[in-house]
Amino acid sequence: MFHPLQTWSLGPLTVSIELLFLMLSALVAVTVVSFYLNKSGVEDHEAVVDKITLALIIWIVIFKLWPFILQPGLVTDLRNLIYFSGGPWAVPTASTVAFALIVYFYKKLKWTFIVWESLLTAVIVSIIFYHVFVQQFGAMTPLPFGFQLDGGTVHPVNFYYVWFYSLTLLGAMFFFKGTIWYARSVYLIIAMGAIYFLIAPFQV
Amino acid sequence: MILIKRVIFIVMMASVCAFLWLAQEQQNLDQGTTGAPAHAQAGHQAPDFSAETFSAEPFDLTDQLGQKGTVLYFWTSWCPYCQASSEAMEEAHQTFSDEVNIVGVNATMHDRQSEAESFISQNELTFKNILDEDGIISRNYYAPPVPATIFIDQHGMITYRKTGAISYPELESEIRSLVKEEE
Repeated sequence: MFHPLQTWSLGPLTVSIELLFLMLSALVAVTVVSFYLNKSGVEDHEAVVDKITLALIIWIVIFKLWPFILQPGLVTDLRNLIYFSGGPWAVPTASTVAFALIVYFYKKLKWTFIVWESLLTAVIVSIIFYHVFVQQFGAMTPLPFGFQLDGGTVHPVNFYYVWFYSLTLLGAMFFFKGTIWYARSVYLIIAMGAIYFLIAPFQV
Repeated sequence: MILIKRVIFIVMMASVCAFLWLAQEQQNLDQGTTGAPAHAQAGHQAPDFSAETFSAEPFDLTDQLGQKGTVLYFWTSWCPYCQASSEAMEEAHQTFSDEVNIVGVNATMHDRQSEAESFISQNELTFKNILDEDGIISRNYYAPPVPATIFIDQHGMITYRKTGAISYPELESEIRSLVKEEE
């Protein structure tokens, strides 16, 4: 398991653990969607995965170019295209556009509801993947175990996420066989909300 | 299959109960402690340090806090991303010097002092800049990579951390959040 602020350098390229595993998690999510749709017998599942990958690429492009929308003067030096990314409202805007694009494809191409189920499952698997590898330090813990930080013991919040999301996935696998078509998706959304509230007191 | 379902359900319920109990214990603990431990991430206390400015004046982070927040900006002279961010940092200093302290930290262990001094004069930086000759501050704040910009509220809590070049709108937004919190 790695410290999120730790960096790995390969020649002139330096990448933080946090960023590296965020990118890997995105790859895991796309792979899970592909696998899920294939296993569910969705016709032309590769075309669906292509569109979802396109939405992901658009997310990255918006995030990368966002500083130039907020401060158009930056474009005068093209090197700034390499230097700058993100900024206020970059993540919500990029996420809204990417989500809207998926909704558009869903309606226009008349995708099956299983696409949403596969997306939710992919999000949960990628959250588990990320938290298995990247430490998340929480508040001081009353328990005798946790991560050691500045002479104190803090909640290992990433483990909590791994535990609850793994249970959620198990629940989705065993409790929702042959139930009504949207039941599993509704369960996953409710579980994500519940996990957020359960773990919130231990976050900083 | 039914047995597996039962086991999963029992483990789920036990986990929820355990975490609800732990949340209660957490509340009791929070009432009796002074805050989060020092660590260079948002939500934690900013690691304290003392150093010297380029003009050999003593600097202590604790002295900066209390009345207003602080923006720590880690940089080196050879880093093009720092060059790109310095103009925004200086602009923010000119605009918000009454509301926040902007403090540059030269990761001197990864730089040369003479080149750092040239960087300050070439970029006409008027905010306070300190030397981190032994690298302890940089190590505690996980810099490099540079630039790294850390926003600290008046109570010493880190509210946001940005690694990489930072634009003026992002600086402005985060500083306004700090100021809003102080009010």
